[in-house]
Amino acid sequence: MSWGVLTDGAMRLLEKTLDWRVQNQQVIAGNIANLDTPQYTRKEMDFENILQSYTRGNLQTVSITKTDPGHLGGANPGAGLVEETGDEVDLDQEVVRMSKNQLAYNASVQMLIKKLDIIRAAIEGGTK
Amino acid sequence: MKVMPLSPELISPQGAQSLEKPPGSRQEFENLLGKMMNDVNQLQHDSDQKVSGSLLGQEEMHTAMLSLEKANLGFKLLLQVRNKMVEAYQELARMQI
Amino acid sequence: MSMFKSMDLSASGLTAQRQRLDVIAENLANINTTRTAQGGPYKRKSVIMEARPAEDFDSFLGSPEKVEVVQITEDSKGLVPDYDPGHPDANKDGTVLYPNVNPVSEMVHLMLASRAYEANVAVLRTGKTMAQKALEIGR
Repeated sequence: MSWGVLTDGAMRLLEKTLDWRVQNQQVIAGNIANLDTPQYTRKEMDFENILQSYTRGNLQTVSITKTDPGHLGGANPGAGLVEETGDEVDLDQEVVRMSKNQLAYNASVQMLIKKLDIIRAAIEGGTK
Repeated sequence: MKVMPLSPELISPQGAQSLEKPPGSRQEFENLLGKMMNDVNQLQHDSDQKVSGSLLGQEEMHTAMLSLEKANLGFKLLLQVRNKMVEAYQELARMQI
Repeated sequence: MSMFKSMDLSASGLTAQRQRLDVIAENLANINTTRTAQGGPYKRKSVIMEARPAEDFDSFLGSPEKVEVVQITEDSKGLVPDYDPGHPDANKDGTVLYPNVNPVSEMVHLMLASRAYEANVAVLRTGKTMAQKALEIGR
């Protein structure tokens, strides 16, 4: 599909960011749910790393890991982005992370909407 | 939160083969139109898929909404192209020979 | 993966914390129970939580885990003896065994469980807000 601006770099990055932010929300949800689980250590997604790797073009999103040889790969393409930290869950830290994540998600959605508005205005010639 | 600077290769439309070059002959124009209709059709199919996927919990909300909007915009564009064509034809038809 | 999955994770957190709350409530209610159906005084109960993969096939690194209460254990140690020969539950030495429930520590656990419960509610709310924001894409 060659709709130019609908598939350009910035648009693709925004779309990917949305996916990652949703995934991060899940990671955080898992951390908070296991707040009192003994021996549970928190997991996280390092966004600086992820974005840098993406812009450099060498993002690893491997779904296959060494846990289960009989395991069917492809169930979760984003798995390679989640890191195990080995730290205990700190509730306050986690809640702050969640706020930041939500803000980033909202911001990305907003930017996406703006881009779409521009495209729409171009198509409709400002008659709406 | 650190704001990532956008590098040039990120925002330049690499996928922007948009409208290649203005069509020179009628044949090319027909193909272009046909291609546009196929693309729009594709967008509609894609969005149907994504929407039902999101209802089943397999697709994200934003993915489905975005695909709907893209299909919508694609269709609007096609509509405008059609309108312009009709206008152009009418303009021609009005010309005194 | 969908937004709803994070809600499932939070739901598991809510359930686990609520079970913990129930156990604490039971402990506090039975703080003076010297006679139970099994015989003997009430023994303090506590929950054991475990992290479980969210879905059966999701058992690989990086997949968020939900939490589950796998066991409710009883603690037999630390029962408090009290010399009271006139008490109907006194043993042959005249001591009555009272439950090993410490109200202060139970209250602390109550606050922790409550805080954790609220945190999970906050996660749910955030997930909902994000999904609603996504709906704005189509105007």
